[in-house]
Amino acid sequence: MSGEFVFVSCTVNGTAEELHVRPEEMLIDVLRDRLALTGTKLSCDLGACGACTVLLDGKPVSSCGTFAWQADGSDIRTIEGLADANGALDPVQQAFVDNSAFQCGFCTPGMIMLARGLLDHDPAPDKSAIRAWMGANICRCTGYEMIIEAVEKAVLLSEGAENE
Amino acid sequence: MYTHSTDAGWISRTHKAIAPYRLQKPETVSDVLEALSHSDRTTVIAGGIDLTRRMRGGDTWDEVIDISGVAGLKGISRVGGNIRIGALATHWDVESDPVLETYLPDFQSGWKTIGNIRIRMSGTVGGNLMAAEPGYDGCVLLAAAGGSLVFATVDGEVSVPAAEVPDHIPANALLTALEIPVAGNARLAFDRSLKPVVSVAVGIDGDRATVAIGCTFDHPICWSGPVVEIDTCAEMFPDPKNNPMGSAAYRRRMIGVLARRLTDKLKAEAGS
Amino acid sequence: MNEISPNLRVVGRDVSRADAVPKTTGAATYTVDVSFPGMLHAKVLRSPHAHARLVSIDASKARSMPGVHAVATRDDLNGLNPTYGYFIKDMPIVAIDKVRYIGDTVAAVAAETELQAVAALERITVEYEILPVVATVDEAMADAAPELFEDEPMGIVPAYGQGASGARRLGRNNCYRFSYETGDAAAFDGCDHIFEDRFVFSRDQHFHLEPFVTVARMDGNVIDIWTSTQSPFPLRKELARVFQHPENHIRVQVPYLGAGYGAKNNCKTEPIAVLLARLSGRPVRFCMTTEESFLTQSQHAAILDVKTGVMADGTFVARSGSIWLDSGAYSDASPLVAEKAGYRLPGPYNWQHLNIDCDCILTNTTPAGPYRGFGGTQASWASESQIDIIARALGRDPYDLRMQNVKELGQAYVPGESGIDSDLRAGLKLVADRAGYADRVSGDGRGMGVSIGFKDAGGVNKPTQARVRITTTGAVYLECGSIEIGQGIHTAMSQIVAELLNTGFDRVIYPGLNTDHTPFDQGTNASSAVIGTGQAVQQATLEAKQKVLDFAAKQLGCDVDELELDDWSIRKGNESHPLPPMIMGYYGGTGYEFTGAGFFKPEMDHAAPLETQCVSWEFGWGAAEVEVDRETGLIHLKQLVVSGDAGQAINPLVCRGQDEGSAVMGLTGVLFPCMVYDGATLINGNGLDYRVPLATDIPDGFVSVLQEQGHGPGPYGAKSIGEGCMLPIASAIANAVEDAIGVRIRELPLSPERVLAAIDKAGQ
Repeated sequence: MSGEFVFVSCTVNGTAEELHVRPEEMLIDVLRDRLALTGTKLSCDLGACGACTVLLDGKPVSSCGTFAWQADGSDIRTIEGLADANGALDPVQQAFVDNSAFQCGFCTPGMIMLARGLLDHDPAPDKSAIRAWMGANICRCTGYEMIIEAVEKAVLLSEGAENE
Repeated sequence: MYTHSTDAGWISRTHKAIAPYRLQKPETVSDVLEALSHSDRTTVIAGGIDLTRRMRGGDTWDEVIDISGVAGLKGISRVGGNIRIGALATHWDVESDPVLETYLPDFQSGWKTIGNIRIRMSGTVGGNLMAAEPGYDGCVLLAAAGGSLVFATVDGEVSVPAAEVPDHIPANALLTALEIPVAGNARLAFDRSLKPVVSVAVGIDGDRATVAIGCTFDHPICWSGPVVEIDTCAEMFPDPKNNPMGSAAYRRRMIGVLARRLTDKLKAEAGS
Repeated sequence: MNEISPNLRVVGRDVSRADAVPKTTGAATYTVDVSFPGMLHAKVLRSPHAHARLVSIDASKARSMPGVHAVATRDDLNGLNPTYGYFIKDMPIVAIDKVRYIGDTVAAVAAETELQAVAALERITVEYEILPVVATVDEAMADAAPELFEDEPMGIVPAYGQGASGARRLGRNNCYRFSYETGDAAAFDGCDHIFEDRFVFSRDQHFHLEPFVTVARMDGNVIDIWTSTQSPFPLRKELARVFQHPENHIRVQVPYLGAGYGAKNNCKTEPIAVLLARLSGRPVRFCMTTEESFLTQSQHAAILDVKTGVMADGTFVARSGSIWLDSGAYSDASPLVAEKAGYRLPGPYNWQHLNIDCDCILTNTTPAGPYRGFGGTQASWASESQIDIIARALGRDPYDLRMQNVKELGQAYVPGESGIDSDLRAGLKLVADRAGYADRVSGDGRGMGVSIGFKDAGGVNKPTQARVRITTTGAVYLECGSIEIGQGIHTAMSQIVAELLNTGFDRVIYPGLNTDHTPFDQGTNASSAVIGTGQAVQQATLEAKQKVLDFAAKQLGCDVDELELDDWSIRKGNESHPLPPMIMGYYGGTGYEFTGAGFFKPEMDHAAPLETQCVSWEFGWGAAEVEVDRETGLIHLKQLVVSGDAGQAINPLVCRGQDEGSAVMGLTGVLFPCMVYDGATLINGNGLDYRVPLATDIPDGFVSVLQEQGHGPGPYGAKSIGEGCMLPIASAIANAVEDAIGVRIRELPLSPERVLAAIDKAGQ
């Protein structure tokens, strides 16, 4: 046993967090077990499915394969951090709701964060860019088309919100 | 299969069973080399994608060295007749880099096929190469481009041609960069449409060709020869893997088909 | 039959799903999120051998390891009925006499951390006596093959009706046979052409993203479990039998499921979690990894020999078939899948004679069980492939041959059965037209194929209940056992209730499933919720509504026929009477609840082959266009048009999701490697190596078209929509390949190597 803790200072959904973590502790467990942010789900545990996707400094990462210490100095966003303080949904969330772009919902937090990462990087991707980016995460329920259409809708909702 | 075995049986672990380790965060390459010399139970971590998978499967280390903060390992630059890609450059860095766009456009577009966006934004070129997974194709493309892996050792820099990997990789070394000759008129093409059975990269420079094969052997294997001999190069390779994913005969045949196809494509583009 | 409102307000609308906000904000709770103070973590030791006698097992060192609170081996099963299953109770909680596949559970440990549990498992020593392995159906049926079960496990053959029968242990490792026969075998003699083909279907894994997971604890003398299951009431009954515990002292609670696709029926993680909870006295969480899912349940691979007799003019006459399902190491639901694979082999076509056997063959591999399509996937693969073979031999267009032979709307499927409840020609024309079939490019590497995927819907003899309660203020509770596994059933049922009560969708709440309170339901499977439980829900709603109206009529001193329920007021002519004061005036200021109960089960009918007529029939029409690379064998999917008939779509967007999701799931076994075995060793059983379709695999030409033909038995004419579009995919693509390159492939998956080998053979 190492017995040594690593000090991690980061922001999670805009809130500063300071934690002592074991080197082997995974980011997903800090989020779920220590910060009670259980929206992020564990599935394949290999970084293949993306159900555990969160945004780390704006990059979509598998939180099941990212040690917590790797998040030191970083800004982390999870599904719980998208809606605003009044509960108003982020355009990506709203688009998924409007388009029924989910079924069992287990991949959905990761899928939404992946989409949020895309639109933060490129606010107006075309369909093939959306498909290429969203191809990172597995959904076993929807067949993907409704998810892609939701991301297209999120682009429009975001443009609409900007124009107000 | 990411399960962990005892004589009595298999135990499927989650990442929560990753064994404790000591974390080191050196700031220079020589500090890394010093830490690596402690024991053979020491390893490095960059993006961590591959290491976490293996540790979940039961690999244990006493010390893990985080090299993400080591200076001088990220940049992409032209050095003489070569392009140097720092080992810590992410796949995303490679995809968007202007130096590569200028001097190694085929290499850059071939590298874009590696991984999904999550992998590309966090995974490093060094991690891809050192993972040495048969299905990871970074080394295949690098070999077809005539590239090398550059290692730092206590005895100085050691360069290993990608075509010779895994032979000659020095012990207790740190991969610091990939080095690829500036393309000039050389062309490179990559076909991964038959993954996970076989992937083929073809590099043509004048009348000289290199064919690098991935997925089919335990590590990438290359053939180099006159372009006119591409049609028969498939016979030059050792016996491909034979398993339920793909037979040796099919893999060998596809080496021939894809190598010829990629060559024809490059020739046609040169002609136009 | 159904109370159909002329202007539907809620039903038929794309209402935002009831689970939309929870699932898009991370608030939705799944069993993986359930936690209790002092909860322990369970891990299991799995057999490294495909077939071995368990000579000895010594867990003594494990019991004293740090953090360990319970260890379970075969020595800890006293007082239990330690084996479970569907028709055949052959699966032990942990291995007792033998291990029968790589991954078979040998021992279990509950400890404070996973690392401690793993360390304890590592201290268990086991002596195995290796036995010969049978990894395939052929090996398992060979004369000298070792039997997986030397002694016959406890089990039953259910009663069947006209033409159907079942039998056990008819040969080596043959744990069940279902047979169906109708008409006269002499019909073959009159045929102009006989076709005999063998088809091979490869096995997939469900790959539900939420793993198998259970949290079990003792609540006094009550076994209290939270579990990711599709069938909580059968689970309760089975656990009661296994643990010799009263049924009403077992409480099963089921939150949202992170999908199941059939895997999550009957015992999976529950028995071990319960056993360790009892042994330790602490809550125990047993959550499997994805790798363990591959070692717990899979789809059935199958060999299907189909013999079909036709006339020169293309009229179908007779079909006989032999199907062998690779059932894996334990029977699980194989006998039920055998019933359906055999029963569905005829497809929705007219036959004079049918004679089909379907055998379940045990092999030393992962147990196979319910998987979306449930035998219909395998049967459609064979049947719809052979129709194209027949068409081409007769010089007929495969589309025309189907149009000629397909059953009419209302025509009985087989003697004694209910009638087909979709216009099959309309569906086929729709997908073919949409894909441009009539004007297609055919040949030179490019081609199109069509297929009608087929299954019965609603399960067999499935009882279901529902309860609707309406409070003083018109807040509605809908209580039924349908589990939200992603199919949108909470939403659809709530829409039905809201429509019938003339109230808002947002007034209906669907409390969490708890077997202490929720009315009985046989399970969320078989595409039975809307058409079966939906009828119970409708009945319950109308009964509650009637009670409200009867009450109001008494209060207002008039005839109940003069009254209408208008949201939460009573309309009498021009008058509007709010209900809350009326209710409190009679029942007191603390108010009241009006309760209605509903029930549905098809009637027993010995004339029906399966002892009840099928509630409904589910179709998936498909048209595929491919381009085949003739040098590599790689198939490029250019178009895939699929369509299901929802009867009346309760929620059209949700229906679309079912059609598209099932179609893409159907691609898994066709264009990708499936579960790949090297002998009895699975080589790609994890999230990285197993190839499920990704967004980048879906061509721009993928589209679903929803039909609403209106003939269903569910409320408002609704039909099932959960599985149909999975069924035509494999055959539509294989048919397209034949159209493209003139080569017929009868084995899945359509890997590039297999396609190339077929091209080579055809060229010789």
